[in-house]
Amino acid sequence: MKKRIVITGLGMIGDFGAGKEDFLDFIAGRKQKQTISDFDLDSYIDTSLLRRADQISCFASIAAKFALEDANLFNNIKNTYKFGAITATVHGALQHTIEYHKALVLDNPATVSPSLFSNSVLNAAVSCISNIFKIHGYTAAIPGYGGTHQAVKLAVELIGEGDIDICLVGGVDVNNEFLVEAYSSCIEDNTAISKNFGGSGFMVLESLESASKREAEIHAEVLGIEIIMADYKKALKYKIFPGRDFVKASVDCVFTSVFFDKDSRMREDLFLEHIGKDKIFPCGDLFGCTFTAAESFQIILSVMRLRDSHNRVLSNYASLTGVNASLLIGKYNK
Amino acid sequence: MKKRVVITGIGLLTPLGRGISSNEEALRNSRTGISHIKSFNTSRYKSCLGAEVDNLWIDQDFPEYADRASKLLLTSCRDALKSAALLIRDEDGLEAPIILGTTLGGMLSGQEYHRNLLLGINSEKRSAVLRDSLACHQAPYIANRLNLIGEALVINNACASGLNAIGCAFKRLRSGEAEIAVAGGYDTMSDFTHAGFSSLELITADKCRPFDKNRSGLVLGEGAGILILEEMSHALRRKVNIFAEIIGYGQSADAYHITKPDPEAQGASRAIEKAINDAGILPEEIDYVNAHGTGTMTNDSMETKALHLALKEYGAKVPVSSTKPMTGHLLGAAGSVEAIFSVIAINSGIIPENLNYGTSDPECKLNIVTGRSRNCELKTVLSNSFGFGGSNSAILIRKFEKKGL
Repeated sequence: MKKRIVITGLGMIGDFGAGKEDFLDFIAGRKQKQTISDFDLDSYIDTSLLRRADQISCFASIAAKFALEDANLFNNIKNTYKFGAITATVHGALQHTIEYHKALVLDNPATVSPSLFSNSVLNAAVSCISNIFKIHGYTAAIPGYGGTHQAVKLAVELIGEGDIDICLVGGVDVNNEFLVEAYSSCIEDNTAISKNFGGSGFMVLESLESASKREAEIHAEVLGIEIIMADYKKALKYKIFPGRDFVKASVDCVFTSVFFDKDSRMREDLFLEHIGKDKIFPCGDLFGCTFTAAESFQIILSVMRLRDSHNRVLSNYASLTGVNASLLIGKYNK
Repeated sequence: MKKRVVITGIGLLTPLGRGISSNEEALRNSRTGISHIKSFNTSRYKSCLGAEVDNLWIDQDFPEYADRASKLLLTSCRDALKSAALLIRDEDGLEAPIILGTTLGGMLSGQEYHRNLLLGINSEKRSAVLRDSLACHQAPYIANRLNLIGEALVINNACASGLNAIGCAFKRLRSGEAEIAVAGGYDTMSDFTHAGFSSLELITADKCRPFDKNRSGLVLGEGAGILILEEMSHALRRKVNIFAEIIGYGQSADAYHITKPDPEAQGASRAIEKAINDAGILPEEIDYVNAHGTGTMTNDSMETKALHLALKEYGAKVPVSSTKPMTGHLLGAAGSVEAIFSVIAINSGIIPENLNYGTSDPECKLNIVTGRSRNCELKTVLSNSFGFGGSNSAILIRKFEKKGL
């Protein structure tokens, strides 16, 4: 890493409600889960900016706005060309995609709505964020289980290289009944997919230089990130295991993903053998199987726990496709 | 000090053929791969034109359920690794990242999934079909098949995805994070994209004529373009053939509209300027521009403006052509295939023709390569890619020279 990189903003919307207070209340067991229909999106963002957008673009834009406000960057971005946005998603704009296919399959394909198509592409959410908040630097969507960690890694590289100074990074996914049905045959805990709708979580990553110049409040520092590609069989064969770079990092707590399937659980176990099971905080029960949304909430929770007695925490994600990610975060120390 | 990054392997599967030689022949002779679409029923569309990859060119050793996207991709990746003389032994694996760009991943499986879902059939197979449809499925699938154990990363910037994947890999190698990387893009033809682009009235039923006054839209295509990128000293140690060097990359966002490009071309010109500054060269050192050139009214006038803004007066002089009238618009593969075409142009000394160009447009005052391909010694080529959502990227590729070693 060429530059020190810090986290200066957090924003989220999901089963727990919207914003940091709701999130913390939910973690502490003081708040009940909400359903997707409980949200009045107009109360969070000017939805005229999101006309015809899919619900994932709405959720992502709201979470991004919260993160920008938290970082004191909302309507306050000085150099928009040094500002980037990276959004992870597995299923993208599912609601629009299904509507679009209805037109393709059941109606005349030549009559599909142009806005339905343009808002169902995978980078629709990050494009909305770029358009609404006037972000002219690097933008990308990262499709993938483990995509939020991959997005963080990409942002760390871009800031580290000086391409951009600040980057909005997050994940967005929203479950529906079709996904519940499709995944119920391949994951171990069928209830994990059905009990949460998902949502979106965003962070503001920033070079320390930029954050210091702005006198921004710093929540945490990114100390390292490692991503390897191996299923359990390969991890054994090539003698690699997820999180191998951080075994000696003296972490206080490891936040782990939902155990999606048997293979990813076994890979997670390979890591836990080295670090000790007493340090584990499994996030599966809290956030369910909501793909990049759960992953972003897991990272945000890791950051928030640094306010407690923790000095260093690890966010680990072993995904269905064999992507294994470990993000090491520490308290910011001048 | 930044490391130098070279191209040591190429895998190319386009409507023009498989491999460098068939594509080079097509570029030299201005042969098009566009014809009537065979893979789906086009009777209800205004246009039946598309550029498809012949099934005979694709490797056949796939499980029954494998999506066409995985097939195009794995075929190209194998060719790329082979041309880079990289034989990955099963017992070792190769710790190299695979970074890919795609717009829709396995959309043909996606269509099957949604069709079955809406018609209530084949429910027991839905999860497998859904998995194959995801844009995040193909990269890990290929990594597993080829024993690649670095990160499998997918980047999506719509039609700029392939070039941004190469840009990302380029930066990782240059910073020393990896010594070797597999990078590129892929996409397949589908009803989904044809209907979508038709709905936006971007598809022409006529010929694709980039930068022509009478241009009326694009033609979609499919394919895959894969590069093996390598840190130069690593490649020299392996004594492997070096196709070319990547010297600069730039990316920006329009922050303007979800489908339309910024007509003032601020974002696109910024991406080109960033690539030039990144490479540390002067605009006049660029010998040829392989344009994004889709053949739509908005893109081509915007790209012209971007070239004038970024290259100043040289923008009207540098030879420019779009190869999309030959390949169709390959979406997520467009950027990587056109980067490979830039390498072919450098190594074979030809500037491809901007096919079907007939009438100059005052909105597109460029030095368009017309009539036939040009023989010309080329050293440095700029390749542009722009995508929905206002994503802009540009890359600079140079003839490899050992100077300074």
